[in-house]
Amino acid sequence: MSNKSRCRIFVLLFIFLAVFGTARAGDIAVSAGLDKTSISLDETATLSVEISGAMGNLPEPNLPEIEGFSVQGAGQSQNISMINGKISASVVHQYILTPRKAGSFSIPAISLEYQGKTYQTEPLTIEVARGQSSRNLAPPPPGLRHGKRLFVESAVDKKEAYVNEQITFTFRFYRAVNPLSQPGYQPPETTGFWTEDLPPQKNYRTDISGTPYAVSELRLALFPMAPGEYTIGSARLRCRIEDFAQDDLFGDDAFRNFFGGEREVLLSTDPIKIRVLPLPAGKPAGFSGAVGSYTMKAGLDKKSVPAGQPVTLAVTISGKGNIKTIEAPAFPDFSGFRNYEPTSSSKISKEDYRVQGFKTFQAMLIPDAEGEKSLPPLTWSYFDPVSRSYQTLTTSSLPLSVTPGSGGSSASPAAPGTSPVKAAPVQILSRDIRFIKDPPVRLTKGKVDLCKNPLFLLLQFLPLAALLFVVLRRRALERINRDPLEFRRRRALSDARKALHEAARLIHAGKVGEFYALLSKALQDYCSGKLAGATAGLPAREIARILDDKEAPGGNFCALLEAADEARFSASRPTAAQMKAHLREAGRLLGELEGKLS
Amino acid sequence: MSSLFTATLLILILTSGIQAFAGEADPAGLFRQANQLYGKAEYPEAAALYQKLSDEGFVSPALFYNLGCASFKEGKLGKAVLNFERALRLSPRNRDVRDNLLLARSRLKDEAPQGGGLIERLFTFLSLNELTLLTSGLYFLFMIALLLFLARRSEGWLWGSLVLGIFLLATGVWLGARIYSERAARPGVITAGSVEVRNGPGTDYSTAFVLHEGTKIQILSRQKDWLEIGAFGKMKGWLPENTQEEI
Repeated sequence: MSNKSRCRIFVLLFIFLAVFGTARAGDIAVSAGLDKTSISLDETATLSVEISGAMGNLPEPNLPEIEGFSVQGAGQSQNISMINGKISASVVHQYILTPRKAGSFSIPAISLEYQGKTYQTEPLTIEVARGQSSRNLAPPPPGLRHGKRLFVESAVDKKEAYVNEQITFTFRFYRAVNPLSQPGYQPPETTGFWTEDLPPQKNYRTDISGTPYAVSELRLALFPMAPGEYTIGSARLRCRIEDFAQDDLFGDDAFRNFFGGEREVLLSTDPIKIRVLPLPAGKPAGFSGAVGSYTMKAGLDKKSVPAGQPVTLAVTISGKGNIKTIEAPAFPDFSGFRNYEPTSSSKISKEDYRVQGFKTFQAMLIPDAEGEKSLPPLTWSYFDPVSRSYQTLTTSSLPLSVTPGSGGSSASPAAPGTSPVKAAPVQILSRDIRFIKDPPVRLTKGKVDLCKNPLFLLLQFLPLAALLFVVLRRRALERINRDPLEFRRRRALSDARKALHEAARLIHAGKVGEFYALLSKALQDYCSGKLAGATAGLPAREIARILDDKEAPGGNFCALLEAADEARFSASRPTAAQMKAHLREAGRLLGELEGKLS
Repeated sequence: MSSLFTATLLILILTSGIQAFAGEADPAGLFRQANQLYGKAEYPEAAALYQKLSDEGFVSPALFYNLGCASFKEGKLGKAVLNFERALRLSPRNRDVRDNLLLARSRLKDEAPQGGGLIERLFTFLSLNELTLLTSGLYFLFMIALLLFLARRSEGWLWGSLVLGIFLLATGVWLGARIYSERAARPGVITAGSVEVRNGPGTDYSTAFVLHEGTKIQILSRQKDWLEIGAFGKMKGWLPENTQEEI
């Protein structure tokens, strides 16, 4: 995250400076150089043309005809730098020069035009000798596929090896024509092996059945990790070349250039089977799997140390083999010392394509008491695949003079038989991964991110809805408290309609008295609510009079109430149809009253 | 009462991702079978079974951890690192996962900065789901406190909602930063033996640098079958998509 933010700031800064830097983007510099000024006929030289200047579209150089050489573009690299707020860029164009004949040749000045000005490089001189260099005398490898212009092959130095013994895998790319682009190499699948690249890439020329080939050779060191049969997969190489079909048709450079196309070819090597032998029986105690040829030496950083002060024991194992996987020798119990787990450092080189180097283990020791001490020898074993035997290395004893310490207490020798039991750190004998987890294990399927679960996200709205409800409810209550009469007036119609709805239920229940009582109450309460309590407790005729004053149908109101009273208290029982008619009348009357009293 | 209701709903949500797998091969049985193969040192076969479960969409820290262990044992360091990283993402405080990841990283060819600083450790102390749940829980508590304050007008609930609000803000920022960092640059691991990282999306571009199996990368963008990646915080380039896997 922080990197990204930094990038954005840098981009903004870059744009800002680029905008303000255009005013002085006028000057550029151009220079040319060769990686070597003297080559033999079978070698190539690299011509680099560097164009540098302030930011902007730097031009491309116009390469002149170079006598005695065929020229092939090898790509370009760009570098942008910012010093004291000034941004500058440089582009290096590289060209491979392949000599056609021996002699001394001059590479003329390379020119380019930029903003109306012409820039030129200095001319260069290169010598081409006739002889072949010694490294090109490698014998032709067996099994070459004659007649092909491009092919690859792979080989190993041994097809049978012990566990952790180096196998050198070699990949060769033969070409009688130059590829049009830089080839893309895909290394082989090397499951079951610990691998190390073995630079540098080797380039040479060779003749096979009279055809000259340029060869590039890459090597890889493989260390098998377990016994068994393994396969080194195919190494692949992809490159673009001129279309040979047209070459064959015309056989002429001019025609080829005119009609020639290009195509991509994918070359692959055959897989190689490797048999990995287990290490023989009879492993010495403390053998930790090292294979190769090694030496070991041990030393202390001081010959004399005060009691209670640390001294460092360094054990260095050096030789040829898989240095990175070397494990520390077993450090014995250094009686009279407090010791700590060793740390390690290593250095690896790959001279002659063999992985080699050294690994140093350093342990800090603190002597408890003064006296002349001797650190016991250390032993360490490895397997030598050449002699097919285990070898055990032993260091010599290391003397150490411990002088009295400054504190005195730690330096004072304890009485015999009374010395306390000294705790020593537990030595780690080997390191491996922790064991797997056993069931029960909860295996879930699908997306695991809760923050992408729609149901979970929906749930987050629940408290918001509750909050909204509470706020609205609170506001309503406040409104009621502020003006209860107005609240009653507003709710009068809905309350009355609810009561009529309840009354309709009473018709079906056959409760005549309750029906008419509810009907009367609904109408009276409505009038009381609408008229701010002015009709509360008044008889029907009095309410009707007040309604008439307000041009509301007071007569109808009074008639309906009287009809309700009559139905409630008379001996004759009204029919359901009559009750329904009264209910409809009440509904209609409410509608009329609402029109007049609102 | 409302807390109980909320807790019930949360549990329902948590289990909603779990889908019944009736009718498919018993995943628990496959897992047990893979463990038995691992116990017999048949690591490639064990890894294949774990991988099958993973390919079928099953997710569990233990599954990724075991797949990492089996891959490590069969020498596939890239797959080992990838799966330990996946396990760590789901279970960031698991010591075994951390230790195995450190051991696998120590065997890599590309030297990478070990672990992370204290801030990074704190930043990833909780898994994304744990952090989401924590934030959601605080959010619910905050809202409940706010509702109680509105209902009772009590100063205690006001202070309670304020304190919860501050915690909610902190975890919200933390969660937002986590989601942003994961979306801005998705992490991946090189699974091919070695990869030539190029200066552009294609083999015609020159090789900028070479990365080896197990190296952690940041995926920045995609163009057809090529990914723009960053490595070690300062290196950038393009590599074929099939040479890496996203964590």
